[in-house]
Amino acid sequence: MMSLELAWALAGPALLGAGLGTLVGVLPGIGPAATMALLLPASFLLEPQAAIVLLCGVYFGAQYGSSTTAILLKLPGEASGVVTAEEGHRLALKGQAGVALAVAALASFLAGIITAALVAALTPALARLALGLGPADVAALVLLAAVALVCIGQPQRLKALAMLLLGLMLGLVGTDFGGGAPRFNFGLAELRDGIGLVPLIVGLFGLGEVLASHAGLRAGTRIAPIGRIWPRVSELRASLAPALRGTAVGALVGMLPGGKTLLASMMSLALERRVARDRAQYGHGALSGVAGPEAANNASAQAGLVPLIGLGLPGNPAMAVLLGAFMLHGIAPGAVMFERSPELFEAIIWGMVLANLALLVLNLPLIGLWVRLLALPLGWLTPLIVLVGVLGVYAQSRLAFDVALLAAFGLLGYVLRKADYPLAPIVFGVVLGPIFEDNLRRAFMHARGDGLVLLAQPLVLPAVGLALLLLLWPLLARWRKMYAIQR
Amino acid sequence: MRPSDNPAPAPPPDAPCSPAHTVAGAAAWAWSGNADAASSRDTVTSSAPLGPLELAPTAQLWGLRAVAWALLLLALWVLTQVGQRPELALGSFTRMGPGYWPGLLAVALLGVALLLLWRSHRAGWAEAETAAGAAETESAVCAAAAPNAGQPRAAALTLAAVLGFALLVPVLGVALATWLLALLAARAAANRWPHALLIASALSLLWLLVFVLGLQVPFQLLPPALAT
Repeated sequence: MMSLELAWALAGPALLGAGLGTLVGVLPGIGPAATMALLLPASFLLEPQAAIVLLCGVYFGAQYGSSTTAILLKLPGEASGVVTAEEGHRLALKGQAGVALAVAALASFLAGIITAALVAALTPALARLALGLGPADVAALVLLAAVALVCIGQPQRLKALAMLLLGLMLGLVGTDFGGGAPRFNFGLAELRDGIGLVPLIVGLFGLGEVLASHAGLRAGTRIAPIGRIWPRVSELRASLAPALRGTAVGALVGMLPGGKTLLASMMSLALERRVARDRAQYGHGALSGVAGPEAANNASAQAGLVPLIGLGLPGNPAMAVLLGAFMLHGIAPGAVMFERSPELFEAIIWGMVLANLALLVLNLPLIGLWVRLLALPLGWLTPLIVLVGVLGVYAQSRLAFDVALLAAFGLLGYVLRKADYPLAPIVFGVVLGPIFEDNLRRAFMHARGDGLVLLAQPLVLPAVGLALLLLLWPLLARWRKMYAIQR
Repeated sequence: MRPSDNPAPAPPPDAPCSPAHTVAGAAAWAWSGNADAASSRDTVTSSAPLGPLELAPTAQLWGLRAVAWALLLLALWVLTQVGQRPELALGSFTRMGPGYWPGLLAVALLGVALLLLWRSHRAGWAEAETAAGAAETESAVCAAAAPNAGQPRAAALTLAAVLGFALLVPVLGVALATWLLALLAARAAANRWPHALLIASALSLLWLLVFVLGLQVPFQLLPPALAT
């Protein structure tokens, strides 16, 4: 059980994270990954558990917050709210905005609590499984995760692959840990330990997003009246099953690498449309079309913690940033973390529960407040964000070099965003590239140069096979189609 | 809150984003002009219902190619480094030297960059197969990040401000550099100069208080020349 002391220590970060997350969820223009990135240097000053809970709170909060503007304005502040907007905004137009908002919050809460339990149950088991793995298995798993990140839920896999390779190359900078020789560090002492993760992440996700959305932050759209908030018992009963189904879909999608919250919401809405008894409701404001997707996006956001904490493999940008946070605090997620600091995992789980509680409170009675924030003077917002990013990076290392690096990665993030390249694979590559290379080299060293021995390792064949299948799937599908046409 | 609390200058967000906000969609659109090649690929024409365009896709396609060329150059540069530098010895697959992994990556990146360029010049992306799905998902995001004019200049000014901070902080100290950064960033965010001055002063004071008094970060606030 959670001790009072722990709850007290986590309540602050959970509440702060949840509040900030709701804020960015409400405000269009800056997403959760960017906010988490901007908070990364500041979180460095906190205890590891508080830092992780804070960042998780931001991510979960954005899922709650995006539903608010999605329903009221059809203008979601975060991608996953788009699906909720479909039915939710129609409910708002019918004067039932309050009920839709309440159902969205309650469904998210239900999904959050169930998923927290799921994460608590599954993650240690996964980490235990990973404990007996040799270097060859680890390398194969990283390869599979990388391929999955590039292939699943990625509309443009070639560009994702290019970004992964770019990230892997950025990960080369520093020192070759095999022989200790400097590698691609341009003779700069600042680069001896590699490119700083903080300027990289804050630049790509934080500054890059600010630059790309400059003056794109807009507000002041017509807001539908909220009306009655507390749903009737019949409405609650009708929403329970969709919320549970949404949770199941979301948790499954979230655990997959590349599982985006948006994908989970879309799948949930499709499922609800199919199982609905009264299909005519869809398109005219169906409450189950809010409950399902909202549960799904929250569940998938939280389920992303299972592969991240269990194996150290991030499935989406926000998880990549969170992995960066773990690394900065000197924690390697996975089996080692469970051995060295089991209390950290417990704290994270309770932090998840607290963040969800805080979000329920922030979103149900205080909905009006968040909506009012849309009228914020936006001329203040971008300078504020830029200052947070720059001072955060500078405070973390007190190196002007890191700020210059921040500017460089901000520019890179801006250009890549404009050219529509995905960014998460870069962070994945930077963080996991060295791990992959190290394990691959050690694997061959253990095998004394005999590559065939490695194939006998338990995970190598299945993981590499699955990776190949994922990579070649579009080709196979095309062949099948061509064959079908010829017949 | 009553709706009248909030005057509505912005257009209603009901208009759906066109699929052209994704490169897949954009490419499909751009190449649908080259009718013969595109229409022979049933996937391109049938699966991407293209609505009215709000954003010129050519800019995105141009950016796509520019990035691909940059990646190509990067790969070539790494390859020459691996070839020339003795400390980046290749070794062999089973006994990798420090140059093996970089070399492998460079070859892969070279291939991917070439493929990107080739595909972007060929009629119809293979990715256009997923254009319908991509458009559905990604165009939704564009509702949040609305297209806007005058943005590159604002971005350039903000970037210059950040770079300026990096260059000036050793000379001016943190306080002054922060104020300058805030001033330029506020100006970039479409504030007029007097307004930007106000915002910059308020924000930099606030953040310095937070960092120095709140978080106890030992900043060199004053110009180093003055402090000694």
